[in-house]
Order: sequence, then C-alpha cells, then structure tokens
Amino acid sequence: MNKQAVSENERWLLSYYRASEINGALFFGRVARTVRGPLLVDVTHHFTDEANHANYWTKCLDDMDLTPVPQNRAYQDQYLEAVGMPANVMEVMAITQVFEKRVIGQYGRHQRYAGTHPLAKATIQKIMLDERWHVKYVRDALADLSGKYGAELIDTTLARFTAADDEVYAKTLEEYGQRLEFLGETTEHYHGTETE
Amino acid sequence: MQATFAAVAERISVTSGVAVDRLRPETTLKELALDSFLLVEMAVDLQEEFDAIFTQEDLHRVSTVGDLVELLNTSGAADVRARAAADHG
Ligand SMILES: [Fe+2]
Ligand SMILES: [Fe+2]
Repeated sequence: MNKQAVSENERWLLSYYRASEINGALFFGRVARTVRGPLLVDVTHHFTDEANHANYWTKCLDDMDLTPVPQNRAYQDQYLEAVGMPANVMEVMAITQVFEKRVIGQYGRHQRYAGTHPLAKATIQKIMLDERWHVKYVRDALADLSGKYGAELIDTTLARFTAADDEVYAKTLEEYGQRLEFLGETTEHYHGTETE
Repeated sequence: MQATFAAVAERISVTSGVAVDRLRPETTLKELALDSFLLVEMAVDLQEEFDAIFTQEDLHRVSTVGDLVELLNTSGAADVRARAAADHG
C-alpha cells in the first residue's frame, strides 16, 4: 500500500470520477439493451469498461484507506439535461464522442500533474487505455452511420453537443473550480475540449 | 417498411413491457409511464426496425402511439437525409 498522503481535493476528485464512471456504465447499460448490428458488441464492451472504471476508482480509494466523498449530480446528468435525451443512435454516439473526449482531456491533465498520488496515476493509466478505445470506436461508428444519417446531420449534431458540453464544463468549473486548482493550473486552462 | 399499428404496438410492448392488448392508437406515452431513458430505448428500437430517423423535435411532438406510427411512416431515413442536406446547403 502506498502511504503518500492524499489531499482532500484529490480525494474529492477521485470520488467525482467514480460517480461519473458509474453514470457512464448505467447510460451504456441502457444503450446496450437497444442497439443492433455491429454496434452491439462494442457498446456492450463499453458498458463493462465504464463499470470496471468505477470499480478501479473504488478500489483505488480503498487502497488509500479512504471512502468516496458523496457526490450529488454527475457531470453526465447536467450534460444530458443540456443536450436533451438522444433521439436516435447517431445522437447517442455523438453525445458519447463529445463526452469521451472531455474525459480523456481531464484524465490527461490529472496524469500530467507531478503531485498526483501514485495509486491515482496508475489507475488513470489503466483507464486511459480503455478511454482511447472508446473515442476510436465511437468515431468509427459515426463514420459508418453517415451512410444512414448523412455527414451534414452528424456534423451539426456534434457541433451542437460540443457547445453544450463547453457550457456545462464552464458551469462545473464555476461550482467546483477550487477543487481542481491543486492540479496546478488555473481554471482558464480547462476551457475547450482536448482531444488527446 | 410500412409501419402498421399492429407492428408498432408489438415492438413497443417488447421494449416497454406493457401488454400489447393495452395499446391503442390513442394511448398516450404518458399513460405508459416510461422513464425518460426507456423512451429513448423504445424510439431507437422503432427506428432500427422501420429504418426511420427521429429528431428530438419529432419526439417532442409525439403524444400517442398513433402519433408514433404516423411519425415512422413520414421519417424514412432517405427523406430525413435529403432534408438535412437541403438545410445544410
Ligand atoms: Fe470510463
Ligand atoms: Fe469512457
């Protein structure tokens, strides 16, 4: 076990990640019940990945002798409220693409911060392998769906969801920005979507 | 594929768990008491089955099972693509 102290803010952030991964698993569990064709395999895999990530964060906190800090609404709840419930498979994939890029950006920043607890860093490294695959298969799925939905509709949908995500992220920072300042950056750096 | 009431009711029954003999064209989606994600599941299932594309605006306008049948028959994927391309250009 690693005895390095964990700051209260990092404990809060790991708890936030855990809550967010649980929400991701619940969302993809619902999606996996519905989709058909080749997406069925990838989406079901995605569902189990997100559930595993929640498990990794729970174990990581437990290995630090910590319990998760209770969280109210996860990021996805606010994001879905902002974009509206998806009306079709393409919108499900577009919502996911924008969100997964946000996740990779956030985990990447946390991983780069020199003071990150070694157990948290190892957990992020493990999760990032899956998150990169999520972005890739969703990108491929959207390319495949352009035959049915048309590239124009996909592009405008992605632009609409990206704008909503930027807004929700800005609001999240207004609410929790101080929690993230330990990562050594000002909240200004968090605006905009990182892709890798 | 033409979406008939019987075929649509059958699919709705499968995804929602509501018995098919409880469904009438005038049955409202509210009466089915589905949570919001079950509505998404049902909408996605119907689109896959009948090769249609719904938008969020379409779903906001739908109130009964009969409305859904009509929507499926006017939201063929080819028509929606053509409309989106026209809007874009
Ligand atoms: Fe994840
Ligand atoms: Fe993910």
